[in-house]
Amino acid sequence: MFHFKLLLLRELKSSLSLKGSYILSLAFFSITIIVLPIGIGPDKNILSLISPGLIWVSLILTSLLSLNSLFHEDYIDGTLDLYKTGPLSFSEIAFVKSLVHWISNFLPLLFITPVLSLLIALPNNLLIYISLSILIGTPSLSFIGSLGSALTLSLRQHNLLIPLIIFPLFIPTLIFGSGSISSLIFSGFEEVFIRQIYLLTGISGISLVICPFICGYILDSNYD
Amino acid sequence: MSLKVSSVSCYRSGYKIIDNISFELKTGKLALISGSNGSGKTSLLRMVAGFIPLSFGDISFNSKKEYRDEFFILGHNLAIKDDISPEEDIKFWSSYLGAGYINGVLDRVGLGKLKKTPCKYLSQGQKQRLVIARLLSSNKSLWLLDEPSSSLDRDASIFLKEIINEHKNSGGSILVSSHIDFLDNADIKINLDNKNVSF
Repeated sequence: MFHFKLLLLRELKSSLSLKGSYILSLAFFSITIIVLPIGIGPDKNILSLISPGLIWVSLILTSLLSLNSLFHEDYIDGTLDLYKTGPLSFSEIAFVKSLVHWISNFLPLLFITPVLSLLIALPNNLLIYISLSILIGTPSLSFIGSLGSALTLSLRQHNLLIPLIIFPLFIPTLIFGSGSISSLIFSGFEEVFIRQIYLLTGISGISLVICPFICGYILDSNYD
Repeated sequence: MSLKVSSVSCYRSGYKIIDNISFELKTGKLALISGSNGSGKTSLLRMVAGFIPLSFGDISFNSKKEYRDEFFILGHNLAIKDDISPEEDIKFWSSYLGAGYINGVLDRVGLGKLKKTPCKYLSQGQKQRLVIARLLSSNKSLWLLDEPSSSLDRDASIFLKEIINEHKNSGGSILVSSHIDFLDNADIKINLDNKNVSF
């Protein structure tokens, strides 16, 4: 547990430094949400119609942007060599890195989503539900995304390959994430929302438990 | 306590990198791997570290196939992050890999005055000194050193030789690769150009 905490603190410090990808993620997510109403026009009906999908597609694109550096940078500079000789297995390291990816890239988005939601005509009374769906659904993006980062570890074209490999695996999260918000906007059914949130919880929970093991196996067999 | 490398060969993408190398490195001994560029020095070290799978043969340390927590490897890539200071770096790695932070280790490698400076401002030689500080804090019996003196100045190279001798005399084993024969007191010399192992 001592080594786990040590690694977690180091990774958090590195990710939340000024050089960290969280600034890029915040900027990218904000720009996507801000630019769209300019392109589509100010019609509130159209904006609220597409806003659930827009938020979740933006979240997925934001995650793809930052997943490139999850393992690749450590592989190139030799840090993974030292991690491999250390007390934690690659599965445990993958868990820490995915968790830090979620904390540094998605938690900050929770705080700006209420502000950005005003721009895309989302009803104010739904902000808490939107934040809840993001909070519960986004861990799956970090943990499933780590698989793509591990699979393309030593490839030069890893930036292009990660989205191709990972995007299909994000589809269930996209469906239930945007579906949960849509269910409240269009049908007003809290029951449907809760069901979708249960499904998102399931996806995140399963990915949180299974993905680090798969990721560790991929890193071990992909390493040279 | 010994590192046994038995009839090891390695093929990568159809090319033969290492061909049938055998040696035994006992406690308190130093083995020097030499050879021209591309002869497989780094590959052999990474095979011993378990980073590259063996095509044929067998490697064991103290009769164990899994010994990843019993060695320290110093490779070409120094695993140094730009934004952290040498002090933060050594505190993390000595706690994570070794027996804990040793006071004065940065002074010993000549980085005492730079311990709070972000690593991005260090020269390549200073970065290599930092990695030597990690080596001193690692508390591992087997050292795997890949071209450890490549960016070091004359004084630092002499210091490196001293700590290698210290480690050897205290019962540690060292496997070091170099294209220059900078260690004249090697107990085993492995020349990968002519596949010759001499004692």
